[in-house]
Amino acid sequence: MKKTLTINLSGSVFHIDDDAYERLYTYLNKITRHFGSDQDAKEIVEDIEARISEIFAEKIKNGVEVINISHVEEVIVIMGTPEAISNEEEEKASPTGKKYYRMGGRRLYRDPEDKILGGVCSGLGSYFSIDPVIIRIFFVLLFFAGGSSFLAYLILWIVVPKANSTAQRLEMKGEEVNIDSISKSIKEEMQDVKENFRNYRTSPTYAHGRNGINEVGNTLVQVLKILGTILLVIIGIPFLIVGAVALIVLFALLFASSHIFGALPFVHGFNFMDFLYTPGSTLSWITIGLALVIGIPLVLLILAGIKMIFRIKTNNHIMGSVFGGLFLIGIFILLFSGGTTLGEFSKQTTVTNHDKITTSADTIFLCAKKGQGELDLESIVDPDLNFNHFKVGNLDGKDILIGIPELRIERADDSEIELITNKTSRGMNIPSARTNAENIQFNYLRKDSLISIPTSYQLPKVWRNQRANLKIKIPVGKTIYLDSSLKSILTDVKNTTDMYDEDMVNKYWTMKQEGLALVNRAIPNVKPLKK
Amino acid sequence: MNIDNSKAQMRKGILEYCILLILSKKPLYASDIIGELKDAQMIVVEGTLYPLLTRLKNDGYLSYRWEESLQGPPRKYYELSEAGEKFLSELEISWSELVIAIQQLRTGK
Repeated sequence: MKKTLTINLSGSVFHIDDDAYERLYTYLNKITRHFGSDQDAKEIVEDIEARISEIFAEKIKNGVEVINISHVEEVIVIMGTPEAISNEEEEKASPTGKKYYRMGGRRLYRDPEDKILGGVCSGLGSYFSIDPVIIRIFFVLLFFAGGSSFLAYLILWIVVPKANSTAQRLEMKGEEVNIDSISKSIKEEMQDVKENFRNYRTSPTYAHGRNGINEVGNTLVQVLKILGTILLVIIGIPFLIVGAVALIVLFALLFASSHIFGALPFVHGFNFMDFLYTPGSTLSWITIGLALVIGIPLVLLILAGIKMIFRIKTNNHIMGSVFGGLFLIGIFILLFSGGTTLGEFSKQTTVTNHDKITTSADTIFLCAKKGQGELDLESIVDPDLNFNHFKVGNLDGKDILIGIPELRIERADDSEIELITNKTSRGMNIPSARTNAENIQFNYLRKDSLISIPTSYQLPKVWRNQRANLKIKIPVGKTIYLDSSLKSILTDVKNTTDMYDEDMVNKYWTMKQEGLALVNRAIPNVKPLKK
Repeated sequence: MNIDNSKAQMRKGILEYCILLILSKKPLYASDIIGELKDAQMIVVEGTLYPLLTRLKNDGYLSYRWEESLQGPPRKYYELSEAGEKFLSELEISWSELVIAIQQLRTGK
């Protein structure tokens, strides 16, 4: 059982199967697009419809009740696909057929007769009346200046049709596009509108109701076409610019190093993606996925813009499917690698190290571990990129993550000083989280009563939310000195004067039952320990 | 160069001439023209004919009128205009010339 539809084809009524209708509809659409949208084209399509209607009528006469898909296929073979028609027809090339390209003015095509790669440059040359050699040089220079022209070339190669027929070559080299020719073509179109009105009044079809309505429709269509042409260019230009800029930004973010694009105000060079993935594995996949998922809509935007501006008619279904397919592939890649990456964060563990020290000294000196022949990490920090537990620095042209530890000072329950180091990280499972935690290079140094604590540490290449902190337990009665270099890492230190952490440095504090109490003593000259 | 393409090119060049020739005998509607052209193996797909008819009409060589049909909706009957007749006679001359030229080349005289 099949659903049938009733159609009116050129004045005759037919019953037609649902699938046959779809096929016929697509075919007629293709034909319409092939011949374009002017009045001649409309007439041609009407003639073709009339002929199809006649063939169907013949079938009905021979006892067929419902038009099915094989009838439609048969008709298509008889009438020819648009490709077959354009192979056979030559009328556009004839000099008398000037209407076909006068209406369009000059069109952008790729020139297959003067090409190095795809004929894009020679086509552009024809369009803008410039020697293609100049355009080629321009493209090559731009290629070395950042590679954007390569992308532009590829896009043009895809979107701009090749000038195959003589008519297309004529259109390619046709009337120069400038203010004069534009105003001329608008005038000509206005003339057509007037003529149409006149024809409408004088033509014998005036009395013929159906055709009369068509004429009025055509006149309206032509007025709208003039407005449409202007509107398309106005819309097309922003499409093209927005698409191109966004695409360049996207590629800069995904692929380029920070130094080329770091100077651009809207693109910050830091590529956080680098730190999320194990080098060489998921990173490349996620980059490809992102490039596809964000890039393809942008490319389509650019294509739409170019089509609008240069009024390119294409009915390239293959391109649509290719882009659609690539987009889906991109989504799959993102889902898959995104899942893998999330998995890398599923478990968290902390590695703790206790260190009890016994010292006869009454006062403990605490200061930063700095400048001990190692790199002073904080000096290379990028001030614009400051996250919760880490900062971003730039070392030898590469972005590195710099962890900021926390230093807490608490009261000890017994009479011993205790240093507790906590290193925390996430990972795919507990062992890998532990390995990640153990890889954090955060070690203090101690000599007698002086303890030097790192105020920053370099994180490994792969970021798994690593953190490190040091807790120092001081027995009641002991005094500590906090050097000013610890200002940035002191965290929530309880004191009897309710002082803020950053104000507590450069001072002596004695541990009491209820917290650290301020002691007034001369400020010493503390020298950080060296390795 | 493939042979089918060359043949198609040859046919294309004289298709206009053929249409005018067919219509010079009596006014016909598109299906009749197609029938004759198909019998003479001049066209492969019918879709080719319509753009050609439209162009010849726009150039003033053909005109058409609607005629009621017994079997269905009205049909478009094409006929040669005066300009068409003149155009045809010019094409006749140039065809004869072509035939002579080819004959000469073939026989080497």
